Amino acid sequence: MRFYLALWASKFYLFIKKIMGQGRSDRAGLLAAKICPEILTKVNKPKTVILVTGTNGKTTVTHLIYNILKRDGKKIGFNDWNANMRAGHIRCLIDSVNIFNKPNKDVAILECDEMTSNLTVPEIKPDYVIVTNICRDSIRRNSYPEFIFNKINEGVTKSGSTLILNADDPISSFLGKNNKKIFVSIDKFNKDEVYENISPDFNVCPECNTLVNYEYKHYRHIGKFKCPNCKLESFKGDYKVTKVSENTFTLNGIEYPKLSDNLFNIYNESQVIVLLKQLGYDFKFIQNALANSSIPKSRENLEIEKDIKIYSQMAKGQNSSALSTVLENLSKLKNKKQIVLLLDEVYEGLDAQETITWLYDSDFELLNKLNLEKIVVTGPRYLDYIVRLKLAGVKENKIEVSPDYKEAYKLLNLDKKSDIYVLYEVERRPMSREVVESLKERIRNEVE
Amino acid sequence: MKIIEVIYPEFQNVYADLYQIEFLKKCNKNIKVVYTSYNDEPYFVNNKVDMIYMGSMPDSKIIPSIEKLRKYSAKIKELIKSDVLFLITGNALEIFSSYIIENNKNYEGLQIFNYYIEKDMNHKYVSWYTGKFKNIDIVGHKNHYSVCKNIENGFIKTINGYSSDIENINEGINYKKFYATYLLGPFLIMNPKFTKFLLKELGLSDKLIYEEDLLNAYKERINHFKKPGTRFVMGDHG
Repeated sequence: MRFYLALWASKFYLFIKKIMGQGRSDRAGLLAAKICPEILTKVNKPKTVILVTGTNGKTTVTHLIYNILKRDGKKIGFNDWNANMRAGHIRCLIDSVNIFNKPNKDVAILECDEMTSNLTVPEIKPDYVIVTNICRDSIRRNSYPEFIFNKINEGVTKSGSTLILNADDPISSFLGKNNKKIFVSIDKFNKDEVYENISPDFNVCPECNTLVNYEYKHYRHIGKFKCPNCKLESFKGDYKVTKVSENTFTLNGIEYPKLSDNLFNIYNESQVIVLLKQLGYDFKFIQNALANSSIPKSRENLEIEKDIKIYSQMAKGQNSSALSTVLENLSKLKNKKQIVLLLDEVYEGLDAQETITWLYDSDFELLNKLNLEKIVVTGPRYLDYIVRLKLAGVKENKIEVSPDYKEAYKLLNLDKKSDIYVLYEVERRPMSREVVESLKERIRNEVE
Repeated sequence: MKIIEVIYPEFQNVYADLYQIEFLKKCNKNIKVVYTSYNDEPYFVNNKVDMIYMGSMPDSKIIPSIEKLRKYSAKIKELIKSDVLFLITGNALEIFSSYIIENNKNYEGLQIFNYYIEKDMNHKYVSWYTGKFKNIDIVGHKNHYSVCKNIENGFIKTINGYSSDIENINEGINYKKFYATYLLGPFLIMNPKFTKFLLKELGLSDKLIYEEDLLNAYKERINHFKKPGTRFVMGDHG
């Protein structure tokens, strides 16, 4: 009875909120959990429940799945409003059943915070869990990769879900010892020099603590390793990317459209393809669906104003793996670059001040390898950035400072031969848009 | 030339601790760093060292580190007594304890000191921190799953944030030239005045690379923390 009271109360609350235009709040989930703490186990689930967790790529993967299944006419529950913890999951799932607890959606797609996944995943028992990767993240929340591995592992072990994992991630690939697992991997097919991170996410064997050897790395710790002592090694991919071309990549012999030049998005796309295969879709449908898909614009975007290219690229603040991966990818592009950093936390103030540990886990040294013309640092931590950039070896005359992000656009050179990259922390996307729009206006006014 | 030995650097990839040693190297060309891996015999066993460094590591690596170093505990005590400088940051201070209690089980530490560790991986202590060492303002941040009890010689006197003991003002341990603190990662970069003290203790010039920039960031942080209403402790235990 308590369950139905929770269901009805939260559905009524959600109904009112939707009328008020606030339906994307997870307060209905909080209300339901207050009335019936075990609601997540009791609410009936759609026929297929897909949960996506991991450090980086969750939003990209869930949106890709959503857009493709939507095109197929599926009714979908999806927590796409940045509420990826328990209350958000409850809010999504109560909205996926009617007042009699009968599912009214075909599929639920749940983005899941990795830190709390040990509690929510066993309650939800998803059919499929995609773990994109495990990397270092905000130390304040996530401590270190092994800590997050333990959290996710606890959850998936209890859930019995089928796991879709990245075989080339030596951390997340060891999740769920007894779960059914499907691995994706990318062959080594180019001779790019791999940058050795100053703070590697994985370097010692989890079994015997010996330094591991890598046969190759794609980026950061992603690649093929083997322990010289106990011989523990990377898993083999059930689905292998064997070729990456300008616009396509080949997975198990079939060519698919490539949605991004970033290798980590090819992993994301591959995991989506594997899921769709599991759901019974044939490769032609998947090819066609991907051809009509894109990476969410909140992640990466290119705008061209009078032939000057402006790239917006998310690089989560407090997350050295995300920033280092972005810098590593930029270092592989030969174009001349100007970079604006908008990485400080939005909530800076008396209640919170960022830790700066992550600045010294991040590979700012890569700035010396990416044909940098200028870097503009913004935000309240600008003095820390100056120290970090100088210690990284960035020449003083390439560093510009704009404590107020709104002024950053004035410090950039308007040169068609120099591409501009605005790297922003996820919560700073609105500010990054302001910077880009101001810059575009300046270009329109000043460039012939 | 001054020799700094970093013990088990491959474990210390969690909170930017190792960059501190890079920073020291950049400050003075008369510093040579020796890195000793987990499967190697420590350099200090048969060679003169001027400083030993250990930093934060995944908590699962604490006990293996103790077990590997146990046979050298007498040598470590001898080095401390003979005024070799030790800098220990983050949870690495657990290694030098008398014992560690976790899940009602006791693990022997290296028993270099009498302090002991109470550990609970479900309780994290996250805070910003200010304190005083001698007349030097210390700033930093913390992220640890243990508390350190029975400290006889505190390193820093806590003003704001969690201390090592939580219940008193002692942060870390200082005995002769042994300095240990839970403060993380770029501790030396965030505390240029302490780094100058440390370099002097090593018998080197106290000139820092980019000293003016370091001091600017340091002063700004101290001023920020002096604002009334600043919250140091983050969340429920972090």
